[in-house]
Amino acid sequence: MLEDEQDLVKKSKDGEVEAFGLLYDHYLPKIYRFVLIKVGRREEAEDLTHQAFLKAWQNIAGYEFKGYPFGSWLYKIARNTVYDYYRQTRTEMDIEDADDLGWLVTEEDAAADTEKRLDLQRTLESLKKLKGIEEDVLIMRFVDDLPIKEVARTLGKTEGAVKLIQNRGIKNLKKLIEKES
Amino acid sequence: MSEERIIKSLSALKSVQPDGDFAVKSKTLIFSSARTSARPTLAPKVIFGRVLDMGLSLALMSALVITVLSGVGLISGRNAAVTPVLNSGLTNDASAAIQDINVHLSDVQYFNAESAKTNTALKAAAGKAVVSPAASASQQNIDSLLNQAAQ
Repeated sequence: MLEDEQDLVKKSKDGEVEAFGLLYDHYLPKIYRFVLIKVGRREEAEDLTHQAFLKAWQNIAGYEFKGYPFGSWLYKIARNTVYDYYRQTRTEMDIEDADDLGWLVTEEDAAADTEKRLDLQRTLESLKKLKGIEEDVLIMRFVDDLPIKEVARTLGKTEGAVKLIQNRGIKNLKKLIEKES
Repeated sequence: MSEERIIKSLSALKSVQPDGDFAVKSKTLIFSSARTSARPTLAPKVIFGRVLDMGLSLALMSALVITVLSGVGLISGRNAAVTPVLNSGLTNDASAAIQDINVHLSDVQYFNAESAKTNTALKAAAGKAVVSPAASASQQNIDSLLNQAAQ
């Protein structure tokens, strides 16, 4: 959680652009990663991330602090934006399209060994085949490092339910990767 | 692939970062957009307050509508109450006028008849006067006197 986050939220609610700018800078990488892994294409991820932050800025006056980080609210908006996008376009990401996975190969990855990159690709391909909720939990927990409590808050589930979904998700992901291999 | 290796693969995705240009452009666009005012909350106190406000507004509006409608009704009612009275009054007046007219017509007819009778009587009287024996004798006397004078 960002230091003085509630103060920044309060100032943002009062219309202070700089305060929301700090929140934006802090949460953008996490929200962007979450969206990108879900949609798989950089352009779409940028568009949807922008939409999510725009919605957050336009509706921040209605946000009420209930003991959870502001990020939970942002994830919720981002998640809804992605699901709305899928409902509208009814398209499925073609993970096997190599051009769409250009974002996957970072400078660090380019230098990494082939096996690691293959692992990444297999993991992503299989992740897309999981149920939406399992995919969301695994991204939030292992990519964005969100605590169980925050994931539960974002998804509207109990902490116990999130733990179960996480365990089931990992097992299912493992089965899918083995099946692909 | 083991579960640990899967989690490690997922963690490796942390290195994915948004493009710097995108971040700047997106932020600029967001801040140039209009913001909405506070979204309505669902807190019971707030809802109760709004319901109360709405109830008061509705009550005042209803009172206004009732006042206007009853005013209109009252005016219409008055008209409805006055109209029969006016109608009966007018009818009575008209009946009286017709009766007067009838009386006058009867008088006119009577006077007309009497006038005709008088006229006839006068004519008859005048005729009798013209052809009376005294008048004709005197006329004859005058004529004879005139003849004699001429001779």
